[in-house]
Amino acid sequence: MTDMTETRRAGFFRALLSSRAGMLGAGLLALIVLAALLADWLPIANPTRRSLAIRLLPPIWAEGGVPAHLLGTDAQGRDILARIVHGARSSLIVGMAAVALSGLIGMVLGLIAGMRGGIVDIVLMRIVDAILAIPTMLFMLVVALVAGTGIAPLVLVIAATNWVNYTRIVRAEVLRVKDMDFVAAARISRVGTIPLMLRHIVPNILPAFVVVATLNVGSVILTESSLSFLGFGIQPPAISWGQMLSEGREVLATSWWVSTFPGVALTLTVFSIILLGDWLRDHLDPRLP
Amino acid sequence: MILRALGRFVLQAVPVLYIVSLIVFVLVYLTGDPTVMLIPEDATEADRLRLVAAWGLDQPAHVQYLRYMGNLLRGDFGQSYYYGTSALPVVLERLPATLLLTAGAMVVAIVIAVPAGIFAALRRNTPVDFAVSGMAVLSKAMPNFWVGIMLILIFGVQLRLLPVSGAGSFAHLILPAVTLGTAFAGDLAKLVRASLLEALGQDYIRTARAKGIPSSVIVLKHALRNAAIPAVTMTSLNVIALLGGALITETVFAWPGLGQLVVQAIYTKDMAVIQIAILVITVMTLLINFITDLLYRLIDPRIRL
Amino acid sequence: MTGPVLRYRNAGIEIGGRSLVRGVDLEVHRNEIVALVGESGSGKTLTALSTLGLLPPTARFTADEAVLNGHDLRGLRTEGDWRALRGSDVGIVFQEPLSSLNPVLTIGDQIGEVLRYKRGMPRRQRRTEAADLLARMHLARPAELLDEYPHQLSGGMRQRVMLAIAMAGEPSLLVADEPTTALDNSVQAQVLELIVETAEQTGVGVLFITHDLSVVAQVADRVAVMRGGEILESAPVGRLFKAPEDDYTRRLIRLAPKVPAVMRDASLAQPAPPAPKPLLELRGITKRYSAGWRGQGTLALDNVSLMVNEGETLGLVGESGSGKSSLARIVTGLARPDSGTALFDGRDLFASTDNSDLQMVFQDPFSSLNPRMRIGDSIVEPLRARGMRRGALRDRAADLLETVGLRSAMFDRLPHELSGGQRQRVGIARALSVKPRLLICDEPVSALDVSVQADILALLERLRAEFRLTTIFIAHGLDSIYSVSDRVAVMQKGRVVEEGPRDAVFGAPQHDYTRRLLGAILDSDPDNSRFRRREETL
Repeated sequence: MTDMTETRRAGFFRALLSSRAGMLGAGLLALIVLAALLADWLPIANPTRRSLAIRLLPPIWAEGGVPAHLLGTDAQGRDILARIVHGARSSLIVGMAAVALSGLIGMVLGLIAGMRGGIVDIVLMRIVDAILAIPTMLFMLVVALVAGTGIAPLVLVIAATNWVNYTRIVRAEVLRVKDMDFVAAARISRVGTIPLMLRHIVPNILPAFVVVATLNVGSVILTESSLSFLGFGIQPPAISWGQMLSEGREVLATSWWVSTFPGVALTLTVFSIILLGDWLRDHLDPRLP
Repeated sequence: MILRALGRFVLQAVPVLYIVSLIVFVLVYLTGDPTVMLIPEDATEADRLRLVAAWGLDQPAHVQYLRYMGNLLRGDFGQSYYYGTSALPVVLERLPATLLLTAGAMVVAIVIAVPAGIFAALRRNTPVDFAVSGMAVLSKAMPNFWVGIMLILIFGVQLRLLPVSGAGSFAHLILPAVTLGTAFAGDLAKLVRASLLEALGQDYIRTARAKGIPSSVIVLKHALRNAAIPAVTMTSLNVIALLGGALITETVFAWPGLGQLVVQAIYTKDMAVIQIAILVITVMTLLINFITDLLYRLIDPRIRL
Repeated sequence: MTGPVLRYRNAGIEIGGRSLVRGVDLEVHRNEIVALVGESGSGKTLTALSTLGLLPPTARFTADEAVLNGHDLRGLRTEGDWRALRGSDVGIVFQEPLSSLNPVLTIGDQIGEVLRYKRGMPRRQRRTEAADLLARMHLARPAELLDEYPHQLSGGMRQRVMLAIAMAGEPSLLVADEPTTALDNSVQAQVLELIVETAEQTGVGVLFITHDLSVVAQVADRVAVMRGGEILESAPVGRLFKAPEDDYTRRLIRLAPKVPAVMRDASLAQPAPPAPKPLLELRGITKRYSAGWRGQGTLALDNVSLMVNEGETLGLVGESGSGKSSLARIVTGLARPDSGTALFDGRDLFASTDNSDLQMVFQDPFSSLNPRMRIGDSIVEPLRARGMRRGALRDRAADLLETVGLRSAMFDRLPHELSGGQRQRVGIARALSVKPRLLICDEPVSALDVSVQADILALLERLRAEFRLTTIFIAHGLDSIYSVSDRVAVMQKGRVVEEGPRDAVFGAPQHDYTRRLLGAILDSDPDNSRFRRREETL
């Protein structure tokens, strides 16, 4: 209860500064986002230039490493560090776009199901159950067969299953808030459905929604890399970490670094998002698991 | 009690299965004409059209849908063009391997997570607790298939201790089971910790303390049993996820389960196999939900009605 | 003669450097019931918990003397130290019997534990002894109860089980922390009687924590009044009520519920004021809530007809599950009845779209205000819904805040910055913003402290005159309704079983259930204790 004072902006940042885990997550994520934004201006190699002469160079600290390629090169002689920095873009873009799309769908449908109830609710929740009963990755692969590959289709593919999570959460939250006395008071005062939702329901489910969405960016990034790993996601010449891992697996027996570093980048990104999301949850909505 | 649960199960299962079959039909319809993949390269356009007509693919969507539902209800699940046999046995044949891997992963996860979660809850806000929480976040952040690749690198390539692909011995099971198990262990440990802490904060724990009974009885009998319900829920959700979701891990370790089959089927657009796989996994999912439901009733007398 | 079972001299409790309890002197003897009375935040519960070492881990307990049954409590630090005393020297009954019992263990198991670890009984003997304990708590079919779970029992039964658990280790001190606050009125008296009986039969000393002076008057031998962490005064119950020394005690006694004189002498009944005309007429209201896809559902309201006259206050009384809340939901338009009609000033109430016909004040001051909305916006929301312009709203909100005794500068506050009493005032201001004709007050003070209750009731009384309101005042017991109502309606199991002028209902009740509810009223006069004959030791 008392924590809500701090939702005011100044208090929000002060609280973030005082949390070590929250700061670590926010700082790390800020670095990654910055690197992705500035990739074209950073002093790194061209991520797509091949050169068979320098293929599979190890990282600089290993025997045979060269300063021009800090983290070594892949089987086609491309600089791994440069590819990782550029790959961050795909991950972040897909992560945020897919979360925005599925969050929007889920918010609208969850509000409708929770507020209307009755047959609309029953049908919608049965569809949600059905989609949850189909294994997510398999469902996405089949959708990918239809939607094709590339960034925009990938966002659609992920949102096609991901919206159900938001729908369930928003609906559950609506049902929780809907029965509270202040909503009854507004309905007794004949406040219309739309103002009732905008003024009373949505502001009270928003904290939970924001927390779930933040954490979800992390899992969507992992999903993106899995799809790209299987070849159904981002296609060359666009770069993605999943794709790099798939290429690295081919040369695993001889060159460990090709598949190690993209995985580290992926882990760090998701790690920072989870830290930030966990902090947000403790801060905004301690009720959530 | 069982009968009533069974009734509820059927009531939930029928609409879900129906909607799933509908979704599958729509997706298969949208993937387009399968005959392109089927006919030999030297066949003529006329040959292809004959095949299209023979399969009814030139009919409007609703006619195709009625035929599809009719076939399903008669137990005709179609032919796999890739394997050249009926699709159902192709899928069912892979089920044991997937079940074995799922069980292995669950054992790994539970053996790690339950003690870690309990320990973290009882040593709250100590270095032990922070370490468990940190490991939990890390295990959630690491992509599953990358962990698999790293395990292959360490235990297969460098140490040469364990086989890295295929199945057939217990040793083959270890790496994929550890890969999947550790991924789930983080979440489970966090949940065990949180629900145990929640249970320990309840009024009935205060009552138990006021009775003057030993702390071990309070934790193991009073708190843990109440904390078990969310953990059972999560484990069951994870079993469901693994049954059809271990696609990449199975692929990475060439484990001959459903996941690997399905990825192959996607690559080759073997739609009959994909359809059956989805339906089989959905049925398994519903069955696991049913078992979970029964398990709740066993743990919590309040849901016994 | 042995010494007291509990003796505190200059006891204090600190949490995080803040002193929450100071200078407490307390004594409980065998076969004696000592009441510790106070409002929330007085430190009474902390004091009680300190006797079992159940204070939060950050708390620091200090005392010149703290002796329980011959054991010095001051040296006890760890759970292990305390374990030896808990159960066998001191037992406790908590306020909320449902959450205080473990939901997944059987009653027999929860009692048996104490017998096993505190009295070392073998399994077979534990079962007989547990059943015996339940029988002593006047629970029917004790042997069967052993295999049942807490959720299968009623609230009163659960509290009897709690008492059985507390007494299973044969303690010398029983701590009862608001043991009847969560129970229905008619059950409350039975549980109090059981506690008194237990003390008399076993000789256990009882430390009875409560906020309710009428409970004190009924059960206690001696009373200590706590406020702000200190004991203001301590005296035998008779002397405390007859000659209180402290102003605060005097105020509490004045505000405590009394049995209306008309209940003892029906001839005192005042004639009911003539009714000008009915404002609200309910006829044959029936509402059934369905229970899923099969099954009958429950009949929440069964052919309810009720009339509220212009300008009067109708007290609507019923225990939990009686249908009074369903009725409020239907009258306010939150739910539709399955059948029945409602006329408001001659018009069909269910067709009305005017929000100034009726408004409502809620019980829980915490859920009745949107936590994310400034209180000023909450107050004028009904006006906004009527289309009042934005500019005028702020002025109206300022007026309304002052009308209910709050500063107009509070407009921009968020609900969590307000106390429970202040929030209730905001709820009242919101309801009055549209000048409603009928105000429904759903237990508007039952979640508040006694002294705040008096303020809010006085405010409602003043506003009732000022706004010429007709009021329905909902309550779960008859005790709180006498002073506020002109007429009374009693509900039970979805029906109105009795309706009439106040003094007629209180003085000459017609229905058995009304008589039962009247019998549950506890008088805050120790000379009228129904449970115990007491030799006064003034």
